[in-house]
Amino acid sequence: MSCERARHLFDAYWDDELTQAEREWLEAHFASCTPCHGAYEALARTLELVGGLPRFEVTSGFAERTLARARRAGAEPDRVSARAPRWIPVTAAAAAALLAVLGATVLQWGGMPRPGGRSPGSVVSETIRQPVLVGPAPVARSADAARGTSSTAGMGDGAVAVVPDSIFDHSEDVEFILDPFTLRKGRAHTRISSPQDAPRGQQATITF
Amino acid sequence: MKTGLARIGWSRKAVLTAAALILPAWGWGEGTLSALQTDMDMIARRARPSVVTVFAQRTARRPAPSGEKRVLTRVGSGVAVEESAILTTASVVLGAERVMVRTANGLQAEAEVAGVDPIFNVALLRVPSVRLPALRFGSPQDAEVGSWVISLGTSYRAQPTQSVGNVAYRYREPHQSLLQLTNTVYPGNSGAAALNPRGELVGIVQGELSPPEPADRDPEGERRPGGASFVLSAETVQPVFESLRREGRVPHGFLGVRTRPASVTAAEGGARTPIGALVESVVDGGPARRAGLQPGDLIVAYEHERVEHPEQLARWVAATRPGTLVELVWVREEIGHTAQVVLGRSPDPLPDWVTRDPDFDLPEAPPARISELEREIRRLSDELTRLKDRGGKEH
Repeated sequence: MSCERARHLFDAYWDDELTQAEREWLEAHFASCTPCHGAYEALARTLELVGGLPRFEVTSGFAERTLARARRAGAEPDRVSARAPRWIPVTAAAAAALLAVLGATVLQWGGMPRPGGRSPGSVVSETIRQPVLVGPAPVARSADAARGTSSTAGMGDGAVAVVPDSIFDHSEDVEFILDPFTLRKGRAHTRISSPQDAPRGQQATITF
Repeated sequence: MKTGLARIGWSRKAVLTAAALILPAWGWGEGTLSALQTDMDMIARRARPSVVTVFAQRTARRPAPSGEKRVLTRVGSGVAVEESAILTTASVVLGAERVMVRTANGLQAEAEVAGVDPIFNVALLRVPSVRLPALRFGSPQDAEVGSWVISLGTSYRAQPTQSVGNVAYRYREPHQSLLQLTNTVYPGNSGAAALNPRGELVGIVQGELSPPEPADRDPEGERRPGGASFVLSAETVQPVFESLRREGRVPHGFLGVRTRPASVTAAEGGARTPIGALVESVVDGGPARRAGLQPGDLIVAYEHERVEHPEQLARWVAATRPGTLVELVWVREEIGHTAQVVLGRSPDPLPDWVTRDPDFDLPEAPPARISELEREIRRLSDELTRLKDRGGKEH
């Protein structure tokens, strides 16, 4: 009966929705009941794995295009024959051999760029998705922006001036973050830089 | 009976011969190094739009007597893992009143902090007004020692930085995986992306080795780049991101002990060696109480790893998921005890010990039975080494 109760509480325990008394009861039960603890471990592992699966995104209009294709496929007969003609491999082999001879000859004369024409520093021809603004544009709030001296002045439409130029001046009030690590006995230690001006090292004891 | 080669038709042989002739010819056209640069260039160009600069502002007062208000800005990098979700480090945004991001193509927008975790040093930002191309997480196998890594971030004046290197070392702490890279990182790179050669995210840049001296010891000079960089690996970042997205916080493990540092001194005036976490009190009804821990016990190992400082143990416990069964070793009256403990859930999402300096001058341990403790620690240390060796061979 207690195992049944424990398993009813698994989901709420994962979501941190148990009362303190329920949580303490469940943790005490875990300590004494290996099957329940194993079942919870398996559930937690499954939830983590499922949560970690990559999300596949489709381009806009994907559903419409797919439905349209399905409709066309239904309306038209299948035009691809069941078996390719026998002459295709022979022709392909002959073409490949000819290409090899030509390619080797040309390259021995003076070299040829890689197929696709990529070279260091060349402009990539493929389309790379860029960030875009959506929805209502936030209102510029900084004094710099109000004076029209914001860093985005002169940029194209759609840019939102919210970061004041003063941030780029690298003044004493601007800190560029990179946490320092130290190595000690084969372990890397760091202390995340605290913005709270917290007193350091004044606690002799900690609770966890 | 035909041999394997004889079974291949003559037309396929012709194609294979042609391929054997033409493929090396491509190599003559473009050298290996320039091809490598081309590929690196492609990866960086594809991923760059996913990398942003993060500005986090808060108001503070100048020290007396002026006491005037001033706006302090912390600048870091961030990487888009969903269209409107950006991962950065807690160091950049902790305590911020206003957060803004600037994209690689110059768009700027307000961001809201969806969750911060100081234990793993990760923060999740939402930018509802911008759609970013998201990077996918890579597999842990892409971050083994020797794997190539490209780091992309931003630094002074929000200018892009890029560096190529490889994984030099993996720190496998209990429930936390940190990578040491040979990549050069720059101030403002905290939260930058570390990518594998497929352009997938293998980690989030955290920091660099030791705080480098200012150039020519000039206090006003810029910091020199350090020799090694540190990255929280994707296998650790991904579950943290899922938790932050789901509930805005990461559930931390809880042992239910109050501890203080303990150390021994080899000789008069000699260096002190930390020896573990000395239990001062045990929380009623907590996991430690159920496992039988008492005030005065010295915790010396957690999950087969030697404990030296209370902060180290606290970090490992917090990095462990609540409900996990862990092994704990402690010393009481010169006798070693081992127990399996089911961790509870920490009630505090932002424990105050996180920002403590691990190199803080530790207070003295109580003088009683120091030599006995030393002997016992040495014995337990040997025992742990033996257990780890055995575990390694079994795997």
